[in-house]
Amino acid sequence: MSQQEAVTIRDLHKTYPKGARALRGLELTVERGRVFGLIGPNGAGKTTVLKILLDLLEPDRGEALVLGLPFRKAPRSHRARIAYIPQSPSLPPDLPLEGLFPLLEALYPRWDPRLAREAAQRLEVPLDRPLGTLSRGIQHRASLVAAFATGAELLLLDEPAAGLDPIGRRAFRDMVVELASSGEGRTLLISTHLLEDLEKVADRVGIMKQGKMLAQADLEDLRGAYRKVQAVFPGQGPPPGFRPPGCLRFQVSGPVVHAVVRCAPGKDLEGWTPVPGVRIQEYPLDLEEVVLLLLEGKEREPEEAVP
Amino acid sequence: MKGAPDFEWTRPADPALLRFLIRRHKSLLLGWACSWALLFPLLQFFHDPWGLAVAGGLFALFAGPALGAAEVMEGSEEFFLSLPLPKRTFFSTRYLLGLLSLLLLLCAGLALFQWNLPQKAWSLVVETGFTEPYPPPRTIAPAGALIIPFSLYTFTFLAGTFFKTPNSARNALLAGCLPAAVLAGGGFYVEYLLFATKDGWRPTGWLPLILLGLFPIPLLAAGWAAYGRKELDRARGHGVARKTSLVKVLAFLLLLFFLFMASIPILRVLINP
Repeated sequence: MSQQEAVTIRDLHKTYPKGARALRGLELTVERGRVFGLIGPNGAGKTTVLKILLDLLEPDRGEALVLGLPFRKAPRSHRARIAYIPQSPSLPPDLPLEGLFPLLEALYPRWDPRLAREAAQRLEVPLDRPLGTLSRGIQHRASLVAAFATGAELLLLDEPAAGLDPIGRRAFRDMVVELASSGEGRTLLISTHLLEDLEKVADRVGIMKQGKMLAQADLEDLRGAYRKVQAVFPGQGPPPGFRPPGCLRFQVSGPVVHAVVRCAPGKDLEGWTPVPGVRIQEYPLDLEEVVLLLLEGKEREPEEAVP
Repeated sequence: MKGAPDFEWTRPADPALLRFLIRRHKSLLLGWACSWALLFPLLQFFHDPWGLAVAGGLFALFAGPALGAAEVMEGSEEFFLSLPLPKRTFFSTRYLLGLLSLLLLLCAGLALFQWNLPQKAWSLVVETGFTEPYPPPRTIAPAGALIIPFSLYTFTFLAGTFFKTPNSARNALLAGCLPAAVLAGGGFYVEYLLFATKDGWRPTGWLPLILLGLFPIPLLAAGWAAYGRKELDRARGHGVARKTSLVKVLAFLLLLFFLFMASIPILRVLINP
């Protein structure tokens, strides 16, 4: 294992007591200093991964390391370099947020009280009201405040923006960007459904489905590997049997062809230009489209609409 | 990872967590201290350490589930278990807070009995009319005053700390009382089997106390070790609630059964003294 890896997961398996197989040989590597987005549909196993990393669940088989050690066996000083925000707010409801600060300050040597108060102000979290009297969205923001102020090197965030309104989401995104660009080499592993938000903060993503990793790539490479193509053919449309290489989706509507093509980043499309008179326009795919494409299955046959 | 320690040898209680828990459970602890302070003047009139056993037992029945299952019931267990503290430290700190509060005031109460302090305190303000100090209580009474609350507290704490859902954690009180009742009832029954003669039998209560005092210790050690591997619950919903209700009914029936078993020898003594 490289010292540059913040998270290392090898051949991880987990089956829940009632037989639901959450993870089936998952492999994942997150390098230090990265903002890594873990994407996948419901039941893909994203939350299970984060809980196993923090020893909140025990895997059946495999290895899960955080900053080079399994969380359970790591000494306290090592654990204090890791912070976690769960999917549902789980802070003690009878205490105000500031009531937690003395404990967090004692447990996290890099706790930053100034940052805690600043973050609470930015996310509009009252410090002096019992958390149980606040809405779920505000409780979730309070979890973000607590985690950000720990000064942890590795932050594991499970659906961090799910319960936030647009203002909260923006503040959260800004804080993630600030943390990532602080130059302190912090790593964020974010599990989320909100791809629009993730696209703005992550530099690498992993796409999970049914407990396995479908793809892991830098966000730019992933987006650059797929293109949306609109081609207008002269006359009635494309010649019969026309199938350029790398087509993942292919839809013909009269003379117009809409396609999604996989090709090497920075290279020209292959197989389209030999048709004389064709007008081609290319568009990049956004992350959501790429993810849907991958989740639908890369090997799926291109489909053709009835003209 | 090879070479990494299985767990860290740390202090049994983490000072920061202890301070935090004292603040969180201050109502419970203050309530216990105030009850005890109110009880103190009355000790003169009920000069019997069994009164302490009852008061301590009541505190244990509140404190065990409160300290053992509070996080599960309020849904904050995920937060606490993801802190840098080892799970076992979280377990032992909570346990020790309740145990020390319990033992501190129980021992103080027993010391008051030993030196007749309630009588002396009364004599400062009124003419009590008591000229002779009470004789020191029989050994079994102070032992019972310590062991019964200790046992109830340990069982209810352990029961509370291993439940995974808020629904099931509400049964900590019952689940903790059950083994205590079984041990007490079983102890009396074995005493009866061993010592009953044609002339009858008087329960000494020593065997139940020994069982209640000793049995929680290995259980506590096993609980401490097992807590290091505790997993968060994933399944929630009706299935869990149904299962919990079934456990509740079974536990209640078992409790009745053992109380019945324990009452047989006592009834025989009463009927045929």
